[in-house]
Amino acid sequence: MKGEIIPELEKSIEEIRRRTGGSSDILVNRFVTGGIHCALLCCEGMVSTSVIAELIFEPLTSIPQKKDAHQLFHYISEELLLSTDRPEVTDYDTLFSLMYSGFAVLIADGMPLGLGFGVQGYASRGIQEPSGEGNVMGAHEGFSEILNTSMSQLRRRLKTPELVMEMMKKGDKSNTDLCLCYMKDRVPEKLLRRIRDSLDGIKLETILTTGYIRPFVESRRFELFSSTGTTERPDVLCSKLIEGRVGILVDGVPFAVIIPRLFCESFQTLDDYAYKPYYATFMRWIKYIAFLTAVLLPAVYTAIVMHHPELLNSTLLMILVESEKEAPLSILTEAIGVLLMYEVIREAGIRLPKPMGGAVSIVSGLIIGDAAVKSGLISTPLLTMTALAIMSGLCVPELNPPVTILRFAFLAAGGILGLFGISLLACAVLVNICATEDYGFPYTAPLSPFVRSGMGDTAVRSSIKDMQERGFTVEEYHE
Amino acid sequence: MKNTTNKLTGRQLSAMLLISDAFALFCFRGGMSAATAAGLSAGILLQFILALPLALRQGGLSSGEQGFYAVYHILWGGMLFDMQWNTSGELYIPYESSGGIWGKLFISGLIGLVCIYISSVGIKAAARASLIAAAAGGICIAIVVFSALRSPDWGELGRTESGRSVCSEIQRGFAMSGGLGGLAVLLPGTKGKKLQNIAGYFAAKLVMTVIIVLTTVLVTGGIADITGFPAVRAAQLSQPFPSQRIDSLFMIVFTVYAVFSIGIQAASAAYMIGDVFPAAERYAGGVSVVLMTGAAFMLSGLPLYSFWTAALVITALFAVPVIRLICDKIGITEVRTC
Repeated sequence: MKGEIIPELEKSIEEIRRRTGGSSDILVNRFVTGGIHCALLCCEGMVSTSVIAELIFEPLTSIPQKKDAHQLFHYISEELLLSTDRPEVTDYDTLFSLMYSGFAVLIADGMPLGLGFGVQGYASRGIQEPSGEGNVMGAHEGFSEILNTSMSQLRRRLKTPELVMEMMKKGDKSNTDLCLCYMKDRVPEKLLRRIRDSLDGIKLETILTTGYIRPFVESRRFELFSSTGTTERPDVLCSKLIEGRVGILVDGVPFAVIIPRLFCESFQTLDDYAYKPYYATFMRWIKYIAFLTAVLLPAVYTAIVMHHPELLNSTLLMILVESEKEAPLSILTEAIGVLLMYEVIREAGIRLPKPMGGAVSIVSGLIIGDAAVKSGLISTPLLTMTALAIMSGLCVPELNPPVTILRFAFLAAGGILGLFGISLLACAVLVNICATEDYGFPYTAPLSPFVRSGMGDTAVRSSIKDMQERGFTVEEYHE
Repeated sequence: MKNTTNKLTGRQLSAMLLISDAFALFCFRGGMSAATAAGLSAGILLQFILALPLALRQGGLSSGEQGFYAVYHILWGGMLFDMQWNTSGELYIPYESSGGIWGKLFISGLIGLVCIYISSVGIKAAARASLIAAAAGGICIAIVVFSALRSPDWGELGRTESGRSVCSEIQRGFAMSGGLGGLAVLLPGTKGKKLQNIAGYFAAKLVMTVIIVLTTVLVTGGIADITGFPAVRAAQLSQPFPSQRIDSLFMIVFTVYAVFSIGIQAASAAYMIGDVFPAAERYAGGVSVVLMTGAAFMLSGLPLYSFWTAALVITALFAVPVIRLICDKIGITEVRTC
């Protein structure tokens, strides 16, 4: 039951009090204007007090005498321009929804509807530099928690009517605003329809991060890598929208979801397009190698030392033998221990208050880097290998969760079964990656299925002119 | 599963079939000479001619064909399992070498598990992965070939093997080309011109076979006749560095190709089992791998390069499609899928 607005002012205010349980943040400002008893309802902290005083109260309280509430509302609607956003309210559900979104709602005695005024003015974090997607040559602003601000950041970059932003509400309790963004001349119609269907299927009480909605727009089968991406950069989202992808902004979250996402995109940054193609290509290959190093290096090292020492030349073999013979634990145990310790320190560094972060670095550096090696618990080559793997993983931060798990899995496989185990697990992982597909877009495109034209921004980074001439949209990869 | 085969590309199809062919070459038993290369090459040309009716076939497989190819894939998958079982003993695989029969069972069991997973995700995913695996394996093979050909003894090419004619090599070529059944099954669901896809695959197969066989002959030389698995022995003898061995590189390629060649047979068999018995679709992958294991036990000890194996391959590649074409002409075909 939505509950239509009760015309009697006192009863209506009583109903509002009853429905909100007398919540303290609901402000009811009673006043008389034009000879009619009115009340302006708003939610504390959600509206701008200066705007409400100047643009709402001042004009409202100077309205000449009116015959009844209908005439009063007609006068306000037609002759006063109190705010740009002025929805009519006919029921209490809409009234609360608007009020909790920063609207002030006017109700009057004898009137079965209310008038909303957009006077949002809640405290929020301003536009800041993205914390996770570093960039040297591009813009230094990220999305903010305020949906409207994020939308305006997109619009500032794509000043075209082709950019469409569709608003919707999801979450039974949170009533969170979502914004579906796409370029109507680029997006595949089928993709858009299927994403809308997926979003319609969202049955959640609240949406607090993008992680709440991603499972609804991704495949249900087990996938190691996510076929939807996120970005906290408006310029990155714009580049994806131009390619015919769909973005979803969530109110209260400074990240956008991008659909579909391809594996090769994890290695692309906006800086790639700012540098000369030869340098961008070089950096891209560095990232590919870094990814493989992050996943495989500790496993391959362990496998070679434990099971296939014939792969090493005699000098290297002697160095490793010398350093490992002092260590009391097996290489596999050592490697797992070092990697686990790193994960613990990393997690502590993220969760601890910032002032204590430095202390964590010092303690971890002392414990792992110095004490553990000097005491002979861990060998220096192994520590070097794991440190290299960890540093390499940081080159592709978006893939950090699967890389972390795969590093452990490959390490166990390599330690127990040598290169055979690594090969076997690699087959399973490769098949899993190749099976990742949402809305008909294979995650491994353009590598497999092989699309030659796609190599211009995968194997190399061709010139902007060439890419512009190609006029790429993601539909090229649809199967 | 029904829609899993209608999106393959010509490259993916070729990659899947070439992996199976390469694995059969790795597991090649018996003597090898330049005549082997000639016989296998002639066999490939003959296979190409026999595959031409496939290009004329319209529509998907009938239920009868599905039943035949399901059994065929299980049998060939069983043979591949048997090849893996026999050949892996020649390579150093931790636990297998020291674990005796249990070690071998453990290693084969792990391969079987990955194959079940491959068959569970469908042919499309397996095809995409095959393309990447084939490319990666190709690089590893190129390294082995490069290191083998650093100081070749070209005189070995003139050596002849007693008791083997080109005809018998052609028969061997057919007997080890069991993957061709996959061509008959997957071609209808492949994008592009059928003839172009067929020609592309056979051209690549010819090049790959000639390179592997000739490299093996050049490396193994005089011991080719007495070694059990010449391709494996050639990889073991091809060492690019004086104080390091790269046998493990071949072991990686062997493992990856074993998994994919068996996995693709399992996925194809599962696809058809699921189509004929929709109720069993969910378990079809597991069922086909279990049946393949059973087939491997049954076929172990039987001669792989026999006339009957070659005849079975010819039946799958040529006879069944031709019968289908005749049925199409008469108008008695009942197409169920694709």
